[in-house]
Amino acid sequence: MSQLININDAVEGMVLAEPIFNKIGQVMIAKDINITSKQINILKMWGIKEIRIKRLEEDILVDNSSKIQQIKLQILNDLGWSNINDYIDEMIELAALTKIRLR
Amino acid sequence: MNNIIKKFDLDSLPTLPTVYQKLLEKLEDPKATVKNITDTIILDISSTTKLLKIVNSSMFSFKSKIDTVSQAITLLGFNEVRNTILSIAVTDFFRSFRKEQGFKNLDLWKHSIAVAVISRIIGKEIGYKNTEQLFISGLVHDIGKLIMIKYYQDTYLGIILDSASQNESLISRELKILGFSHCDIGYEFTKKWNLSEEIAACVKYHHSIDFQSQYAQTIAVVYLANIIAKLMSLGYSGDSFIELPDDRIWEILNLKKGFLKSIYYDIELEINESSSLFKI
Repeated sequence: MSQLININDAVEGMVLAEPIFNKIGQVMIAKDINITSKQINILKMWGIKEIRIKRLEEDILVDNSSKIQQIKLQILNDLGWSNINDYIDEMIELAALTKIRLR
Repeated sequence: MNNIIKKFDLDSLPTLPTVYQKLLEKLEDPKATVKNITDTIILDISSTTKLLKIVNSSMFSFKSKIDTVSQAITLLGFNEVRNTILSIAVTDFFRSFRKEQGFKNLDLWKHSIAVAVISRIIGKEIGYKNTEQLFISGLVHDIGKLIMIKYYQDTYLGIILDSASQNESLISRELKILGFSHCDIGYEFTKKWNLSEEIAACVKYHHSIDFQSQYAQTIAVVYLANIIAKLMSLGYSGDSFIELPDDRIWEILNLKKGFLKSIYYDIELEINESSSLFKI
């Protein structure tokens, strides 16, 4: 899965989903590479506005945080657990991550 | 309870694998040398091959390749080699139950590996020194179930199915029908195999912690790992009921906030590694 992002939102370590070409069609930065802050600055200097990056599973999960909350409530309900402390909340989160990934 | 277990005929419990038994005897000898320990292990080709595969895996991450058993002993020490040979013996034991009708020993094995790995991860976090002891405790915590399926077959399968359909914990169903649980039988097994008191305590109390025990913290680790493995649907223990953790464990373990939810990918990674090393 990939996503188009504004160059100003790019941070070091993101993985390019497609190569970046110069004006004459030569590959300047190959895809599947973790970009460095230096490369991000060069891209800005070249006037590149957007880049396409690969999205990690973890990032997708962050977007799903409201969905996770919903699933956690469902799991707690199924388990019939009450008096939830912070530790148990974390355990339920592990269960919710499993559920999301199994889908 | 003792009477009923006696009826069960403790003598019929599976005996210690020869290589492991001989190894224990040799290690008890204060004059044990790398040479005579090596000689004992290499008599068993299968254990030797597996031992070398494990010590060369990323579990130990030595820089250069270990080609011989004596090298492994020198680098790892007697204890670590004994623990590894024991893990191999437990794996072989699980494998020998492949033919039990209607019972998926592979699912129980996956559950056991998960509990072993999660116990080790939690143990490292709380600064527990002998984490391999925790790993083995996880591998054998449910071993009583294997023995029960062998001796009680349909009766035990019935207990598993009924507990699932009535959302009752497996252990309470076992106690109702048989008068003893897989924890009791597993405990007898650990004695027969000469496992350490600490491992035996984990097997006996992994559903109801003995907070007076000197091993209460170790037991609490395996107890918690068991519940996490079930919540994450890692393998299947035959018990669909998941108990709310006893509040007292949080004080004993004193885990950092945020630690538990951070271990999701570590668990996955280590399970993949361990399942390829300990295959049934």
